[in-house]
Amino acid sequence: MKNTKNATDTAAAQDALESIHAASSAGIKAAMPPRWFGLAISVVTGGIVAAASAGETELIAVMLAAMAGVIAMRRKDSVAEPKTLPNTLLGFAGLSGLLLFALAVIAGGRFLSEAQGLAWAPLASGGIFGLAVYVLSLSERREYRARIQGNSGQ
Amino acid sequence: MSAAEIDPVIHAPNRLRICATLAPLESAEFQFLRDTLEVSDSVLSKHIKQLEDAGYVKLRKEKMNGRQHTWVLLTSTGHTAFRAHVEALEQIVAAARAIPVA
Repeated sequence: MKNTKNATDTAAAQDALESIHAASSAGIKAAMPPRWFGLAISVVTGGIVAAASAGETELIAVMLAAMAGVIAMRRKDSVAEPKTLPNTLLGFAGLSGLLLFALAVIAGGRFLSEAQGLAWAPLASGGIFGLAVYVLSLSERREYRARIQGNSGQ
Repeated sequence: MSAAEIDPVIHAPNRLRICATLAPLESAEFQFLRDTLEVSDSVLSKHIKQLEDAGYVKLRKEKMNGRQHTWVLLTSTGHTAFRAHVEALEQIVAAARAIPVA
């Protein structure tokens, strides 16, 4: 009798775990940012870096407004919000690294345009940063897919 | 299921699925949860109320394009309780696997 109950308990626990993995996958899938969002954010952040490199404060404001618009469009269609801030030390280190990289690229662009007279430097710095953000957005999508597959494979 | 860590509030299948859907997210919209769980508004409301009373979820209401949207999020207490519940389930399954078949 006890064995039968244990078997039932185990089967119920296994079913519950499978249902957890399926539900988690559904949540992650719904929160996965669309490809257009990664592209739009990379263009806008690249624009902010290019504008900052060129010292165009008005253009920075325009780009920030564009970023707010992109985020608002994403939120309009969204039914699930992914976690916004990293919850691990590695995640914070990555975010801090990205900010430092942005500052370095802006400083580099400024130096090349002002001290060396290279007018294209701000555009190049914006392009480099935008490309980095786009690559990160692609790797984020890969991570989402891996988590979905990981859940469905368990 | 006899493990002490099993949480009776989370244990009900629909509430378990609500917590599991919310766990990897910041928040999810009420309608999305309703469609994912394939339950009616009233059934989902009832389960969310129970989770809310236990301090496991919070609701956030937002007006967008003239329509009211309700977002549900798992609190830190809810995250802790959910993790403990999942661990308890995993322990039950692991313990059964450890018993040699006669």
